[in-house]
Amino acid sequence: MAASYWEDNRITPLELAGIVICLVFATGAVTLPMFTSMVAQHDGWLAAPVGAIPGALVLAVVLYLDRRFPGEAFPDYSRRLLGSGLSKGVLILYEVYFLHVATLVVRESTDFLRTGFYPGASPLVLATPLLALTTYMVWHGLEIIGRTTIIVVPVQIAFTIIVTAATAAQVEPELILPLLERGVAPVLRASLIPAAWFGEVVTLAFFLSSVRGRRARAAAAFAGAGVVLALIFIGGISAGMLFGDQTGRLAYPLSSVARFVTVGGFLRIDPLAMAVWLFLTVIKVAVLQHVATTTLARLLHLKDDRPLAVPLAGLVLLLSDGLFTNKQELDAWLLSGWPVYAFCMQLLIPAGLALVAALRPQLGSGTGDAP
Amino acid sequence: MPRRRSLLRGLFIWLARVLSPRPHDRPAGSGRGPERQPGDEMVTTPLAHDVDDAPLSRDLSANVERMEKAWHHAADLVVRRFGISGGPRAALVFLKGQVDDARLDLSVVRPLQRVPLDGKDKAPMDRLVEHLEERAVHTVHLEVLSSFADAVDRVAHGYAVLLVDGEAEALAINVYTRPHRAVEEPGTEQVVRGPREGFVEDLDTNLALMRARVRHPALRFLAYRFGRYSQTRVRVLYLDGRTPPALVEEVRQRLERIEIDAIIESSYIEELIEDAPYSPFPQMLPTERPDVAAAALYEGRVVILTDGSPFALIAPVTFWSLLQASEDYYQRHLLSSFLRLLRVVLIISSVTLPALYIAAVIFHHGMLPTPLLITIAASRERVPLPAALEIFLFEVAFEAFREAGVRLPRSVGQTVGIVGGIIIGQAAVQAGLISAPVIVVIALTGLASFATPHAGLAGSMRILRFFLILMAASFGLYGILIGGGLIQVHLLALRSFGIPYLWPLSPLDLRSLKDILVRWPIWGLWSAPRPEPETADRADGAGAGGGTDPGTAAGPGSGETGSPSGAQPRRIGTPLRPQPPPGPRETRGPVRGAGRRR
Repeated sequence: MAASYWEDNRITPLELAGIVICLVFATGAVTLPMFTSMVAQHDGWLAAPVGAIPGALVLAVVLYLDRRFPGEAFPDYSRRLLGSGLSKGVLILYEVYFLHVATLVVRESTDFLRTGFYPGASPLVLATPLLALTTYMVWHGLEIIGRTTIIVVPVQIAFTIIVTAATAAQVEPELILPLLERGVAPVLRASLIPAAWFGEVVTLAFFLSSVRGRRARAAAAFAGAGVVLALIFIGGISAGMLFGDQTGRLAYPLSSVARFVTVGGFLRIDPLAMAVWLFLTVIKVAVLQHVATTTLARLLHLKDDRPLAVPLAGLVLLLSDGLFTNKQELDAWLLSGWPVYAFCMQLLIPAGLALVAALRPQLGSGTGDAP
Repeated sequence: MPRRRSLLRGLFIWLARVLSPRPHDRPAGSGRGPERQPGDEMVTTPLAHDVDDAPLSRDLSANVERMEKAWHHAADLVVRRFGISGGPRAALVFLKGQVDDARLDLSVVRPLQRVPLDGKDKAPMDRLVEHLEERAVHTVHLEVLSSFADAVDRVAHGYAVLLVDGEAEALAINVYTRPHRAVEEPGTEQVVRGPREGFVEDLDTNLALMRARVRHPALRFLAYRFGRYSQTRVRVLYLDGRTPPALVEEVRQRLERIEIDAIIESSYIEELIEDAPYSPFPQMLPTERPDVAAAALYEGRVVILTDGSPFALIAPVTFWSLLQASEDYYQRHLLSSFLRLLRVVLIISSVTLPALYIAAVIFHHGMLPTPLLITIAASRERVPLPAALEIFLFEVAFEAFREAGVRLPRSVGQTVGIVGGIIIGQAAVQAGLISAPVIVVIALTGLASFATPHAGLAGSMRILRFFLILMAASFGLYGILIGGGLIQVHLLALRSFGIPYLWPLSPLDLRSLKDILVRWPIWGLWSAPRPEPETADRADGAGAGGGTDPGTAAGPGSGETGSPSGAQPRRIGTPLRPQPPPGPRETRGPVRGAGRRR
């Protein structure tokens, strides 16, 4: 029967690809060239492909666990592999992590808005409508979040390509030369930041089981990551060719790239770029909030997770203002502490779980023989 | 202590009884019982419940007296006594104006008075029926009644009820007619090319108009009668083999829960059975055009006709079908495609244009090119109001003009237009109260909203426009983004009878997209009808895309018309739930009404 259509909160592989693009590209879209160029100067654009490798590793681990325990989400198989007590600890860690990442993303967006458009506005006031929208999405569930990407992500992809294509006439390719001027080390160090961004795909472990098509979802996840890589690469190289070594000093290099573009020499599009980019952020925050909400509901043994959406949104709202005093502090933390922290949560714990799963083959196959 | 516990226990039992969803005390349509025939009317609030349900007596005068008492000697109740030729005395009871006098005379009274009753060996009532059927005009529909409540009910519905002395049964003769206007061109959905017939208030005429377009026994009806006092007849039409059975079942279930005092317009039904009653968006499509309704049947949708309303309801609808006019299918497809794209642009600008103006003028001066900015700044120089207030006030004024123009008699309405256009517009600018660009923006917005083919959608956009103005005045472009996002998420989450509102854009169905933003040529939309709807689902999914819109001539409907019983992996091939799964996110068909709370 058509029942599968009515199982709420299931999404298609295409929508999964959209979610992957939002998860990775949302925060990376505008700021990433700045971070990589800070470390690697004009070689910054090389950092994204290198950073994609650990990201692909995270994705592979997540997909391995998904294949090993079909139909189960992270909380289910972590309980199988680690036992009830330890898995609860891990879930609490992830709960904190997802709220933390959501907080960082909200903070980055409000900083972006304040710097570029609303210098006088309070970050709390700016974050409130954003979180209202994401909470509304979380309230409707994963299916609606997924279906939003179908409309938003193509626009974002088209926009990025159009903006970079429109600036093609003004680029100076010699600005990114000489290649690897100071050796490979700065590029590798810079690649830690995009690696942490690509690692956001660890979020998929919590809802991959509600994506239709077991083979298609793996392909879709990788395809989404591939599209992001292409977009970040295009964005990074165009920022590098336009600003050269100065890229690291621009707070939002891609926004600056968009300022080069006018429609018919008449209308500037950088506010539009802001709008499109922000919607990706909205989806990313919504996904993180959704995962945090469902995980908390699971920890508290609640059947319906929706009542938790609003309080968690309030927590994110307060933390986004209180965690950092200014953008410099945030950037410093994103450059220093964040990669280590992200590495633990994105790769170390899932890889550990995968290792346990591989060493204990009698567990798994997801037939419900759970402890 | 034990006493308190028992009190608590009693309280809990009471609470559980109050809070638990209780099935209806009286199952819907219990007036007829479970042995209902397929063609029978289902009555959710039968008239019989207000009348004593004792059987008819054998005494004519007692029956007549009882009938007069039941109707409280109503002004339009006619009791005509006469003698059946060669038989007993009889009385015809009917409501004046509800029956066709000429037909009653020619086909009932005259044969009974003139032609002697024959066939002495049979029971009198059988003889009477046979007599009438053989001698009377053949279109007359006869029904033998034994219950007094049924007799009252038939009188209410324009039957002439024949009571015969010595019979405990009555004969209901359908000579129903009612005053109604002629079929004419509908006022709301006008076309340059296309049929000019429109529905009228009379249900039977409307059914005839539909039948003239669907001459096939696959056209099925569900008959209902709603309203405790109005006893309004409602017919649900669908095309067997095209309409998913799950959709019919869903419509049936929602309708059968209606208990209300009166249904005056089809909008009552719409509000009672729609998915999301608090949404600003229409979830059913009202149409005055039989061709649109017939096309909807071919697409596998359901059409609901209500007596007393010239508006048929089409369900389910998508956002896009509200953006389509029937004429899209009657003119060249390239032009239709262009118009459809234009309408999408127009409807988006009808919501966002004033908000964008506010955002550009207050927050994002950089967005506008310098010469334009200077022009706007120069015209705003004399204006004392802030831009947001200016837009808001004039938008309110515009709505006032529109409302005044709609409600006033036509001759006065023109005056309002002149007052609005010249005096307010011209004078306000000259007096320096409002800047000229604001008037341009408001006028463009109004024009864009008039270009929306269906008034319901234009109306929801009018409300949302104010919401976006508010958001833009508070947060600029960011506010428009968030406001637009909220609207978008709402549209994504909205369903009309199980069909996602933005389908086939999201959830994405590439095959069906060719009849959404563009209109593919008819030969590209058309496919051979399916012999077996249950099994041909997959083949159909691979075939041409379905029509989501009114007017697809025999649209194959790979999507909406797809039978839900086919095991199809694609999401939209099976868009309808057979049975809403119980769960927190379940959409429900709300049924409210004065008659329900008892």
